[in-house]
Formats: sequence, structure tokens, C-alpha cells
Amino acid sequence: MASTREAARPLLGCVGEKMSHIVRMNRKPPQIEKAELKNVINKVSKDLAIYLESFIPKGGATSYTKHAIMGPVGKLLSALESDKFSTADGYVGYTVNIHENTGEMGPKKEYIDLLRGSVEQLLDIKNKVGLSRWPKIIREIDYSIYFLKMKIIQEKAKAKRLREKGGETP
Amino acid sequence: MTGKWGRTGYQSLLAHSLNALSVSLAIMKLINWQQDSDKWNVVITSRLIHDYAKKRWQKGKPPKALTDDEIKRIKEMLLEMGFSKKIIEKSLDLALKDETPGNVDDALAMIKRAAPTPDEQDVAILGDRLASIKDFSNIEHQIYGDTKHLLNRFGLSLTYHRVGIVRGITTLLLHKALIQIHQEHEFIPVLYFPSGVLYIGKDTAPKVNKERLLKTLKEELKGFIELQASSSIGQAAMGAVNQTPLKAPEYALMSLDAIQKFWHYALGQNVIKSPAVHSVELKGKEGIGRELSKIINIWNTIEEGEREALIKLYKGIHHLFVYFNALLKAVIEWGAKDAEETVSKVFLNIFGKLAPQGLFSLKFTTKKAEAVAILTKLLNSLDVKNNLENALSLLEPFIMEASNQITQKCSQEALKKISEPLCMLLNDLVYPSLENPKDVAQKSYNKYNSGKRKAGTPVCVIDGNPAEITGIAQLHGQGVQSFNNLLAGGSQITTTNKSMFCRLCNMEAQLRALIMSRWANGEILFLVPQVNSTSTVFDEIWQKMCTALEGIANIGKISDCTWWAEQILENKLNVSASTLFVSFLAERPKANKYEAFIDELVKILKEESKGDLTLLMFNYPRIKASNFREFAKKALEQGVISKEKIREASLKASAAITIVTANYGVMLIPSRIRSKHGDAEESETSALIRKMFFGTLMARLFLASTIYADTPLSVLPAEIYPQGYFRIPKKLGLRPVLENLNLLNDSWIPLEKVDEILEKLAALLKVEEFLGQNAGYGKDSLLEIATRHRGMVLARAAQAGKAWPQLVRLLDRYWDV
Repeated sequence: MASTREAARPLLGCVGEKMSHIVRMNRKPPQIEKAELKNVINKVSKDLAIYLESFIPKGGATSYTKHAIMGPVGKLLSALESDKFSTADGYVGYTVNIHENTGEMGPKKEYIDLLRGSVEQLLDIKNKVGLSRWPKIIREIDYSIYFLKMKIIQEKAKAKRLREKGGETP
Repeated sequence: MTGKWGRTGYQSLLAHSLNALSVSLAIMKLINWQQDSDKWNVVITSRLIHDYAKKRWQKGKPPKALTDDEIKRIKEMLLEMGFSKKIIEKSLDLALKDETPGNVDDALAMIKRAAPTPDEQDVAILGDRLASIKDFSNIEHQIYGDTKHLLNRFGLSLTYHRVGIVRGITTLLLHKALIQIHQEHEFIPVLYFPSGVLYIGKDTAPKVNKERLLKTLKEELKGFIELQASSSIGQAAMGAVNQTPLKAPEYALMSLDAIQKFWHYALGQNVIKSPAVHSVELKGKEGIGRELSKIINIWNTIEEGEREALIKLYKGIHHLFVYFNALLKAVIEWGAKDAEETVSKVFLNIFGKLAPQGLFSLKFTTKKAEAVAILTKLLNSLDVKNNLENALSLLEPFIMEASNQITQKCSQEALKKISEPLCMLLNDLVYPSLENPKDVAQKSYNKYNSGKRKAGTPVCVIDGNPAEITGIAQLHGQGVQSFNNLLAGGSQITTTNKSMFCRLCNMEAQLRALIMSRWANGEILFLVPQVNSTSTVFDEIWQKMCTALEGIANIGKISDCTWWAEQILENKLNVSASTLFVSFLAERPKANKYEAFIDELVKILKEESKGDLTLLMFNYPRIKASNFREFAKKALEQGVISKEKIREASLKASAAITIVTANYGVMLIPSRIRSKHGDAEESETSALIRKMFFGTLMARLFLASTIYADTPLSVLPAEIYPQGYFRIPKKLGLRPVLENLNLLNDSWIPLEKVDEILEKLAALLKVEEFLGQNAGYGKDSLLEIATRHRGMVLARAAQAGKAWPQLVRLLDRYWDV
């Protein structure tokens, strides 16, 4: 009976007498600390949720699906995930264009600055984390913005009800 | 909750202060210091405040020196308690000078204070040192030589007893017996641990005699059964008619009182009082129905109701004699060979006729034709018409008298049988050793030398002792018929190849069954008190806790996790425990759960209609009833009672029971802490999250550490000692949840994190309830919600139209951003 080591040889890539090359993976350790990454994700999510405040869909808000709530930011995140552009300008232009076409009006300058800041930060962390982690980060940001935006919508609805019912909490 | 860390774990500052205080108190009593004298009060107050500075401590070197603000606060506090300024100053001196300074600040603070008297200082140091012992499994190394020297100065000495494993109720009995023996020799218990007790006394430590201990243990056992379980002997002894009719005949036969209780219970059960009749039996195609149709020619022409009554009569009487004969068999096996003769005589005396042949050997497995023939003879000779109730009332005096007579013959034997496994319990004792250590070593050596005599001796799956009892799922818990590592490899699991148990583990199961018949179908939670010092403190705090625990357990809200979650999220648990429990202490548990359930339903309906039955009937016009009880039963049958009301009533009717001593408590929860999703039970990992919440909650409420038994009869190894509130279950699937809760590197829920963890878990449970079946994630719902991003959960809820502000608030509370 072959020894354990001999039995394991083919698994290590040895065929007959000739040694074949073992496949090696060069894993780059992430260049960003977990806590720092968390901070960036939180900041970007908050900024993009604020940016969305400037987006009013044409004809007013008629739907509260995730797609409708995320507006141009949803499209931005899809573009970032699929690596559609190579510069921050490309992403900002793409988002502003969608904003203008689907919204009542285009974003003001301060909102565009907020958008640019967020995109730059995202491109920065994209270079620092591995490719395999990138979609997961985008997904996290996507849901964070959705959650924050829903929170804002509900707070506004509550404030509206309070105004209408003379201070009665729902 | 502020923690006090040490080399071997940590305890809360409150628990440590109370422990130190009560140990010092015990010492002062032993050395006859005058109560309420100045030195008495100085030691007491100093123990309360001696670690006050550690409130600021977060790990690392503990601070000792007090800040000016802290001194001010202490003075105010002690003045409020009625101590004089002189006592307060002295207690501050003592509190700061009771240990070696850890740094320059501490040393400078100490120098400023006046020196306490050596006696005061030594009593204070002893209190502090002994109260700092946490790991009792290593007690020999936990006590410094210097501590012994200090005790000797007062003419005192230390001793302890320690067991190797903690079983549950049987170990509690062993602790109680040993405490009694030590107390007889004037050694008082000062610290209680799950695996033992530390004593202080004058003179030398008492030698524990094996016979004496066994005698005390038997008395404790008898006392326990009489006190805790006398009302449930019937439930404990009675098994399923088609399996093991008597799970534990020795408990039914231990006394005349017990046998009366057994029959009182058994005669009230449907299996005898009103056995189920199947439609195939009614048609005369199967079972007793088929046999009756053979002897009654006009069977098919008889009305269905009459046929049912006839089958019920035969079945009921058959089952009655199955139970009676099981008792008889047990008595004969125990040596009373003339037992059958005795019951025959009783039959003759009462009915004036001889009992039909074969009546006292009827079993459930007797062929139906034979059984029907015997029963027909019996019923004809007694002239019973087709009515089970009449037949039972006619036979009851015979059953009672015959059972009394056979019980008299064997009650001593039954008691002996019950207490037999207690000898095995003595083997658990690690210290004091009941045998000469040299003899034990020699015996082991000889055994090893002689080698194995035969292969394949079955061993107990719990403790590895020689096993004699085959597991019964109803008594020993589910899983007795599944593979375990103590079965031979590759062996087939069949009804004849079940887990085996030793007599001691079987006894533990039986004692638990005496308290709660279906204990093995629920959860077992061990509660270890953090305040584990002398009985003075125990009586004040731990006993109150037990009363409170019993109170909430009896109204059934105890394992309803979502109800508890609501209380936490509404900050209702922030009031004092006593205030909380005043509202919970309601009623005692009922023997019959269905009746208890109806009682609760009646209360709810009365509340709804403000006590007006006509109003209730107006609201539910289809139901006509003369009283609330009748109304409740009819409404239930017709399905007009809402789900919410049914849930409320059933929750109130179920109960959990806790057996508590100063060493630890065993909480028997009647059902699994596991929610249902449609027909399927939630996954094991999700259930673990729920159990984690409940275990932590109990620990927090009662200032105890809690541990679940892995399997119903699992024992706790003596090495386990509390290092926080709740021992976190280790399961790979739970990893992301623990990561979210920042508990990945903890094996216990830390003292300082408990409130935060409880709030997060409460929010999680409420989210799961909120999503319900439509928006939930099936049987893994709790785990999925716990590990997914909150936005993802919200998006799912939004799809089902449930993205309400309440959900957003709950998600906010669970997720740390």
C-alpha cells in the first residue's frame, strides 16, 4: 500500500516523474484597515443619501420601490461595480446626466461636489481592496443608502403628519 | 454593570462587595465579636466600599486610591445608611489599607490614612481574599498559605467539599447532605459554588463518614420527594400504555400516599377514562371492535353511539388492568411472590366472586381476542352495562384496596430501589475522599493489571458509568434512539439498540420527571449565583430571586422571548426586580394544562365582556351557553376564538419550574425555546440566538451566570466556572452573528456588555416577529436577519408592504454603524 505522502502526490500537481508547476495565488493583503473601511462606507453612504435629497423624479414621487428610491445613485453604483469608467469625472458626468434626464431638475453645485467627493473616495478604496471584495462593498453601500433614504422619507412623512394632525404622533 | 477582573475571570463589583461583606460577617460571628460594635461596623462598611475606585477600571492595573469626589460620594452614602462620621473615617482607612499598593498613587493615598487595628485589617483582608475565589475546581491553589495563617491567628480553619461533575438535582442533594454534616461539626458554609462549598470553623475539619453521608443523603432525597414532588408522583410514574406503562413503579409504590396519588392521576387520564375509538374499530374491522363484532352478531345494526360506548368500555378497562398489572409485576419482581394471591383475595372480598382467570396477566400486547374474552367474563360477573364510567367507579375500590395491600408489602423495597443509585453518587465526591487514597490507587492499579474480563460492557452515555437502563425518550430525552459515539461503530440504530444510562443518571431523570413530567422535551438552564456567600446574604438576595423566578415561571411568560423583547425595548426592565415581579406574581400552576388553559381563556373572555355573558353571546350569536366555562369550550370547538386570545391563554397556562439552592439553580422549562414557521421548526442556529437572548436575560435579571445543558441530561464539568453572564454557544453558523455583536472573542457575555447585547437581541427578535411569515426568511429567519445588511431586510419588508417606521427603528437598534 502506498504511503500517505505518495498517495497525495498527484494532488500536489506531480504527474509521473516530471514536476508540473503548482498554481500559486498572489494574494495582496488589503491596504485599508477594517475600521477605516467602515468609516469610509458610512461617510459615502451618508453623503450619497444627502445627494439624493436633491433628486425629485419627474412628475413627483409615484413609487417607493428600491429602484425608484435609489434614483441616479443606483445607476452610479451599478456603473462602479462594472468598472464602466476610469476617472471620477466619467462617473460624475454619467450620474448627473441621468439625474437631469429623469429628475425635475439637475443637481446644484454643492450636491455635485458631494457626489464627486464620494466617487473619489470610492475609487480610492477600490484601489486599496482586492477585486473580490469590491462587489461586496458596493452592495453594502447600496443597501446603506437605501436604508438611510427610507429613514429620511419616514421622518419627513412623520413630520408632515404631525403638521397636519396638530402634533399628534402616529 | 461594573466588572472586577482577576487572573481567573471576573465578577461584578456589586457581587464581590456583598461576598466580601458576608464572609467577613461570618468570621466576626465565629470569633464572637460584639454585633454593632465599632469594629464590627467598620469592617462591614469597609467591605462595601473597598473596591469603589474599581468602578473606573477597564482592565490593566486596577486603581485603588479614591478621588476626592469618590470619597465625598462614599461619605454621603454611608451617612444616609446611618453610620457615624467616626465609623466612616475608620472604614475609609481600612478600605484603603487592606492590600498591597499597586502603584505610587495608591501608596501615597494609603500613607495619608490612619492605620487600622490588626484584627480589623485581618478580618477585612480575609473577607476580600476569600470572596475573590472564582474557580472552585482549583481551590487548593486559590487559597494562599498566608490566608490560612491569618485564619489560624483567630483560631479558625478552612475546609471544603468538592464534586467532580454537576448533575442537577442529585448533586444538589449531595451538597445539602454534606453541608448538614459540616454544620453539625460547627463548620459554617461561607462560599457556595456549583461544584462545592467552602467552610470556616473552629477546630479541625470534620471527617466525613461514608455510612453517615449515605444516611443523610437518603433523608435529603425523601425530604425532596415529599416536599417538591408529592403532587406529581402520578405523572412521573405513569408511562404510555402501549410502551412502558410504568416508567418508575418505585415512586408509585414508595408509600400508601404515593399509590393513592398515582391512581388519582391515572384514573383521570383519557387513556383510561375516555380512550380514543377509531372509525375502523367502529366498523368492526380492527382491534377490539373486530373482536366484539365476532361475539355480537348484530354488531352492524347497533347504533354508532352504542358501539363507541362499548368499545370505550372494553378499552378503558383493558388499559386500567394494563397499568394495574404492571404494578403487580414490579411487586412480584421485587420479591413479593404472593402478590397475585393477595389481589385475588381482595377481588373475592369486594365482589364476592373469583377474578376471571388471566385478568392479572393482561398486557397491552395480549391478543385482542383473548383480552376481550377475559374482559367479557369480568364485566358479566360484575354486571356492568355499556358504560365505562360506571365500570370504573365499580372497580375503583378494588384497585385502591389491592394497590394499598401490595404497596404495604414492598414500600420499603421501593424506597430502597429509589435510593440505591445514591451509592454511585458518592463516587462524584472528589474531596473529602471517602476512601483511603492509597486503597483507591491500589484498586485502580489492580484493575489495570488484570485487564479486561469481557468486551462490550455498555456504558452510560452521560457519565461513562456501567449502564443498566435502556433509554426511554419520554424520560431521558429525545435522541435515545439515535447514533452516539458510545455505540459500536457501524451499528444499526433500532428500537433494541438505544442509548444506555447508568442508574444514577436514570435517577436524575426520574427526579426531574417528578417535578415536571415532560421535562425532557424542554430546555434545562443552570443558574449560578454571582452573590455566592453566606446564608445571610443568600437568604436576602438569592432566595428572593427564587421566589421571583417561581412567580414569573408560574404564569408561563418565562420562555416567551418576544414578550421579553418588548419589555426590554420599552425599558420596562429598568425598574427594580421587586417592582417588576409584583406585577408578575399571579397564580400557581395547574395540574391539568387543558383546564388551566380554559381557566385563562375564561378570564380573558370575562375581561372582554366585563363579566356579562349575555353581551358575549350577543357578540358570538352562534354559541349558546349557561356559563363562561361552557362558552369558552364551545367557542374553542367552533373556532371562533382569535389566535391572539388562544396564544395569551396558552402562554399563561404553561409553566417553568426552578429548583434552587445556594450552590446553583436548575430551571426546567417545559418546552423548547424554538419558534415555529408554519409546520417546520426554526433552524438550530436561529434557535440558538433565541436561547442566547433568554439565557442572558435570566442571568441579568437574577445576577447569575447561566449555562444551558447541551442535551437534557448533560452534566456540567466542575472546571466550568462563571466568567460573565451567559456561556456563549459555539457553533460555526453563529459566527457572523457573534461578529455583529462584537462577541467573537468572548466565551461568556461580559458583564459590561450585557445591556447592549440584550437590547440588540431584543430588537432582532422583534424584527423577526414584525416580518412574520410573508416577509421572513423561512425557518432560518432569525439567522438571516441577524447576518444580512439592515437595508436588505428593509428592502424585503418593503416588497411585502411592511417597511414601517417601527421596523426602521428596530433595525437601527440592532445594527451598529
